[in-house]
Amino acid sequence: MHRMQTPAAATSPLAVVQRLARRWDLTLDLIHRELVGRYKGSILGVFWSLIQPLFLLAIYTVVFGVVMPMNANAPSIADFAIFLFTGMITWNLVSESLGGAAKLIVNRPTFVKKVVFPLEILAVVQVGVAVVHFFFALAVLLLAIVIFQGLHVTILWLPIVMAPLAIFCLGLTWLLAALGVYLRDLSETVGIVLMAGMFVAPVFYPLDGNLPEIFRAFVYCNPATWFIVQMRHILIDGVAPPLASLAILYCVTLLCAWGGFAFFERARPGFGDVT
Amino acid sequence: MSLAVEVRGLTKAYPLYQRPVHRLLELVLPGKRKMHDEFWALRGIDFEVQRGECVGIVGKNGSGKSTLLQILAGTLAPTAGSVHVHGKVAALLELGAGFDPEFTGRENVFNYGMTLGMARREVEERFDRIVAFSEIEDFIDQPVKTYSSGMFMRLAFSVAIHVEPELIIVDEALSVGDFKFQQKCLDRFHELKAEGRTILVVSHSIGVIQNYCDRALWLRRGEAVAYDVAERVARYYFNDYDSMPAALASAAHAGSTDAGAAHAEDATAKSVDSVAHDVVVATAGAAAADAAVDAAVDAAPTVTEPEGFQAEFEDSEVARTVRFVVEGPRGAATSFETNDALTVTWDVELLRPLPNANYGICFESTDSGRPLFATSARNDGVHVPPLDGRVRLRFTLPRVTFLRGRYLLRVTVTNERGITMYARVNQVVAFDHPGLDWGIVRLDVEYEAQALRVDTIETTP
Repeated sequence: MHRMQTPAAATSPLAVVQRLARRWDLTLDLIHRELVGRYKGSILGVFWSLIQPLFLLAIYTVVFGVVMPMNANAPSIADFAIFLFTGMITWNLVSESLGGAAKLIVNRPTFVKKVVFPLEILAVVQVGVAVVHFFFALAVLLLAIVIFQGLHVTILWLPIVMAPLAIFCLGLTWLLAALGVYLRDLSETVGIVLMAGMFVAPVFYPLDGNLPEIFRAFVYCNPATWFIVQMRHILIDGVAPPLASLAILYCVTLLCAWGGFAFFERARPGFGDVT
Repeated sequence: MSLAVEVRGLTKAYPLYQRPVHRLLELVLPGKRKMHDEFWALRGIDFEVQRGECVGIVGKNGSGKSTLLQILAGTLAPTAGSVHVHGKVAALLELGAGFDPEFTGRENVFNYGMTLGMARREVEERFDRIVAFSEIEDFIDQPVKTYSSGMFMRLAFSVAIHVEPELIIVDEALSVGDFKFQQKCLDRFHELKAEGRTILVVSHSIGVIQNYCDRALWLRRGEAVAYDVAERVARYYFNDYDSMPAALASAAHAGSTDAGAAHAEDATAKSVDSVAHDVVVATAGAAAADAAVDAAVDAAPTVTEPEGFQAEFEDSEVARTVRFVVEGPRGAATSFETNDALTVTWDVELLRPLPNANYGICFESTDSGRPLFATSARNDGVHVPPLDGRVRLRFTLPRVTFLRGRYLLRVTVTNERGITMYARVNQVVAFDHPGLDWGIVRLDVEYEAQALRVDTIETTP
């Protein structure tokens, strides 16, 4: 028997995992649907999700590598492109997860009102799609690294380093999705913050002494900064990540994900009233 | 038998928020600050459903049916009261919610099935049955966008009834597909019921309520008028009575109304025979009426007096309404009695001259939108002068013979052939009739009863 007076079900960390696991089939299907559905009927299909970032990479490489060079440490254009692409795909994971987050629930009124739908998995789907796109792009990046620089064994750290970022994005997506139902201005705000965020992260430039001191402080405030730096360490420089920081990050991001989920559940009873 | 659904004092007030953010502040801020107005969609609903029962829910649009189903399904939170639902629920509140037209039928079956709570493996097991039931085997690997709306609904419905839930909630989804498919769905409901599953269904079909439901809940303006044997409730509801006669309403343990009690008081004075006759005609299928029904039938219906209906104006760039008055024998009114005279005075301002206009009047049924009578000046051979500036149009109907009920009165200014509409006013009017004759219009009847001797009877060849 279940009591429906309180649709907000258990939100203990273990219960959260159990609830998500129970709808894993549906989550995977929705991720697949998102990945494939966007390009249904087009000739290149799912390759478009790769073509777009590659095209951007080409533009950025020409502008920031050739026209007005931003990284004096990169000896060649290929090195700069690899440097840039590493930052880009890391940042894209964040921007893709959070970009549509505030509209995640609002855009699906039928899921709120017309079916008994596990709304919480929509955030997992959103971040899941971003993760898959990340791996697509990563494949291309690794190919380039193999050709131009050679792989370091530290690449094995990659899943361990990136997992906290995905977890962090998930928590933030839950938070934004729930807030976005009530605050309709949020989506635009997030869009602007993400646009700025790309430049306030060491995507185009290295975190070195050439950065003005005040600006560098901003860059350090960007949660993606640490991950971009570490990604370059393990992929390009062959340096392992600092374990202590990593351990702390796991704690913080898991807490953040749980907090986001708890907030989502708290706000959920009102979804039907305002969507 | 055990209970499948238990509803106690269920109340739902739709908060009407000026801005969505106020809802958030209410949820998050401590204390109970109220930041909204309320619309009461349901008030104090009590009922319970036994496992294996089929319960119909009837009521006019806006009576709270869908709200009730959504709360039972768990997509809406009640404002007060308690709702206990025992077991797995499948709610067909909107068929095919989540279908993606770009994907094939097969892909959508899996996704929709999993949305409704099945595991992938379960969908796989039932896939063949689902497709067979929907009768679209040949198209299952085509994108859903190529389906006709009937095929789409059939597939969605087919998935939904194969979820094998303990409680099935269906909101008017039975109007799916053609007659044959509807019959198949109803048969399937019968099977599910036989398997001990509980069904809650909103339906506007008297046949569904009478033949497939055990009990029926009648909602009016968010309150339960009656909760009783389906056949009985259906009889009264579908005869357009405003409430259940008290004898029945009190027999139902869910809510009785004051109006119902009032009916019972003046019940005994009326002639039983004449009214009972009407009821039998109207519900010919329900021959097995028990004594309580028959005795209570003579509670003649009375119109709940409307407080005056608002007219609805539809203007255009060419014409707009300046003044609109409907008058009866007792002055401006929206309520009349059968055989009253009715005059419509309509002042229209034309923003450009209309040399070949026409103007007309019609009445429609407020339930079905079916036209009951329509005509126009040109149709009746009246010369229509070129219209320009401010014009007063007047329709005088010396005797309107509508019987008890509400009708949509509509006047229009159109072009010569009635195709382009320049201005229109919709006005609901109510008619009351003290007599016991029944139907839509009063027709004059002359009666004659004459004793004939056997040898004078003429027979038609």
